[in-house]
Amino acid sequence: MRIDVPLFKIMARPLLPISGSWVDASPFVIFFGILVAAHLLLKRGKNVQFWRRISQSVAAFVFIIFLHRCLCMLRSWIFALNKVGRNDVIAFGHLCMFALLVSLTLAFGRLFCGWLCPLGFFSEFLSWVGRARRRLPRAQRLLAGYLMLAGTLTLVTWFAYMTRPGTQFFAENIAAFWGAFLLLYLAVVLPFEFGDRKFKGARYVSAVLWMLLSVIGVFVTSPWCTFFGDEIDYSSAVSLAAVLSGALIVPMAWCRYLCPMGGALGWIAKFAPRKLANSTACTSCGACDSICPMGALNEGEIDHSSCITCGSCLKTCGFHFQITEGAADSAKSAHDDKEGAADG
Amino acid sequence: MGRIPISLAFALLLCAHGAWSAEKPAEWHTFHHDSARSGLSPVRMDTPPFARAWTFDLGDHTWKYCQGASVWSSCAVGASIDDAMRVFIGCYDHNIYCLDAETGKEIWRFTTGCLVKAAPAFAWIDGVPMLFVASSDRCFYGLDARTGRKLWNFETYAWTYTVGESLAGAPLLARVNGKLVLYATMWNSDRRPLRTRRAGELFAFDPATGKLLLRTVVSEGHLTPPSFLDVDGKPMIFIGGEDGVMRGIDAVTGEQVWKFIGDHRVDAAPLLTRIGGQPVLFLTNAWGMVRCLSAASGRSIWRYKAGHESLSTPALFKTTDKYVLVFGASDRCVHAVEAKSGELMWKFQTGKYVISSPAVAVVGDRPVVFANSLDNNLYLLDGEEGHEIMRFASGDMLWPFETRGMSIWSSPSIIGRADGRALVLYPGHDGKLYALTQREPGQTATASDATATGWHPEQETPARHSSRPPAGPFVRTVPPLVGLSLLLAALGIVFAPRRSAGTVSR
Repeated sequence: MRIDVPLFKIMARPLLPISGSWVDASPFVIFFGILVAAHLLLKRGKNVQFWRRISQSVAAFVFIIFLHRCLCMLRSWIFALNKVGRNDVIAFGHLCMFALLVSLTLAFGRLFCGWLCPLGFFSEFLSWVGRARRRLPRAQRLLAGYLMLAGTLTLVTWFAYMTRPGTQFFAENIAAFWGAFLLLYLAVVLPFEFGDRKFKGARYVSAVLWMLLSVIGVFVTSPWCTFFGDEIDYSSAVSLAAVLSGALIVPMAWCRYLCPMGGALGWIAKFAPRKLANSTACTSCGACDSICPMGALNEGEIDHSSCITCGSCLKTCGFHFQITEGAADSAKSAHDDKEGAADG
Repeated sequence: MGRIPISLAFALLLCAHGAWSAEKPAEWHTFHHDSARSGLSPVRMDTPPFARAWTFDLGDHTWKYCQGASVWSSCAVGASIDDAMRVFIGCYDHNIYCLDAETGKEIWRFTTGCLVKAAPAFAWIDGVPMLFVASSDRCFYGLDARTGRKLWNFETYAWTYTVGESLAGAPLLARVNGKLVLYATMWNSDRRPLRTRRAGELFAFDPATGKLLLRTVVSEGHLTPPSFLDVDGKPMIFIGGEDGVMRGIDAVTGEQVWKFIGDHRVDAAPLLTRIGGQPVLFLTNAWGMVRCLSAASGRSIWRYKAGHESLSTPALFKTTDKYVLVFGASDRCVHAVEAKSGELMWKFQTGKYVISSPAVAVVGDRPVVFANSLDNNLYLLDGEEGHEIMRFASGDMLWPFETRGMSIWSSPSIIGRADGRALVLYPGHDGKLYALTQREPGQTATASDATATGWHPEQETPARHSSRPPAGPFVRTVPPLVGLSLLLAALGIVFAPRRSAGTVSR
């Protein structure tokens, strides 16, 4: 079976060519603009979800349809390092997005994941099915979950078989392996999906493996190559199918458990001085747990490596989250207050 | 653009090819046949080249290459010297080989200081058959093609402790103001601290003496091999680059006449021709965009998007009623588009990336396309419909995996033999050069021959558009039905009406 994806990029040439080359500064400018605006809107705290949807829609339009440059950053920066000193313009073109992403994540947390990443946007959109399933009683929830999983595994396996590449079982199919692993991983996670914090560690392994493979020269494909890079790549198409269907089962399953970019950014976000924090004492009512699309909240505690700074908790949760300087310290002190109150 | 007829000049060019082939064995003097990089061989075959004529093992494979090496051998060229056809091919083992086209035996070899990635160029200069070689040792060589003796060399950049491997483009010879001039590109880099140098340069030489006629820095990045066309009386060189820019350069002065900033880097030499009297250029790039530009001004005429990057120099040929541009891409397909409009005519799917530059010849009265894929097959496709006629399988590639995107891979060439049969030269990714030819009358097929796989003008066998047998009706229908049923059942459970919402139980 041949995949014939309609090719749909509006701009086929650079908008702001750097040094008269194909290297385009416009993705960098748009990327920077969206993330800085996201930070300001989050800090303001009003109509956050409305503006976030606008931001995600704009980013999806720009990076999927409008600009031909893709958001490839994990693979690109390794390639770019090889280009430093050999072709600095191209090295800059590949490095600038990654450098910007890392620096903004280091400053404000995973804004990219919550406000810009089009794959996360689609996953979040599809997650309404997963959220509905999570409201069921346990037996029905598990039955529905495993039925969905069996159905999506059947469909994805069939799709992979029909479009399978000709040779090189592993090197050519990295992304497909990641997609398949995601679905199998969900089979393990499903009975424990409300206390899945320990399962999220897989994304660090994913990030390290992904980078190692890139470093040794394997052309690592990813779920977003098909849409964002406008590339008909079989492995990417299979993994994209797995990622989107995984979101139907567990909300934002890819972002939670296996996204290598999310893993890398999550680790960086731990060191961010400005991030969402709980400034009030937690009463352990458990109401906040279902608010967070990433499951980063657990009885008032924030897993900052999972938090995508979407701001869902800002207004909906009675805890009155806000952005503060030294957020980690304030959250810790709030948690200590709570424990002290409980002891007392 | 679609209403402009193909020029008489191009038709005459094709006729000239045919007339030439009738007189002496067809030759292939440089990368993609000629200085315009047409990829069109004048060879006419009665039957496809099913039989393996010979195999030549290129170099010693041990410790001579690194994993992910960008190329094993350059594209072969062929020329007749003293009534004997010779094949010349550069290799990763630093050698340039001269082989006898009849037997595949080595005549001579010349060792350079580094990899020979670029295809050599052949020409008769003052009665001397000369071979021009660009090596990654930063040098150009002029060799006596009879003996392999070095006649001259030119070092483009002096050796330092920090100098890197050069990237050379396949040289070409063009007649400029009545004189033959050798053009070539080379990219040199030197990572000296504080005095880093990177330059992709165009060179022009007197081919007889190696005297430098022109040297100009085109770009900071890698350059494609040059292509040549006389545009309205002005000889011009066309070069693409890693910076995604296609440039039209005055071949005499080296001044840039126009430039076109594209969407991604250009790795393959452009193809030049004339359509409706207008000189046009076809280029491919790493985003899979194929463009037709005016060679006089650089204006974009049409564009076509393949599914993935293309590192392939297109080939151009004529079917019964159309002119067709054919090229490979990393979406595993060989694409054929109408040369005047850029509309897709057919697409043939192989098992893996088609990184080679196709070559075109005629079998019977139909144009055929030779294209090799990284699935280790050389395919012969019908030019009009894209049906597979035959395939020839080489051995596995030498490395466990390839690194896409930064490689130029070898491509087939087609020459004639003294007995009138064709010889298809296919440098495989297994480190061997394969020569295929037509079977002699009464000759039976052997296991090492190519396989006839589909349509042929004289056979009424079913057409096949894919390298893989199609799945049966059970596989096509049952698994998706089962998967969808399971999904629907699950959704039924999730969204079934309930009396009360209840609380979440963990």
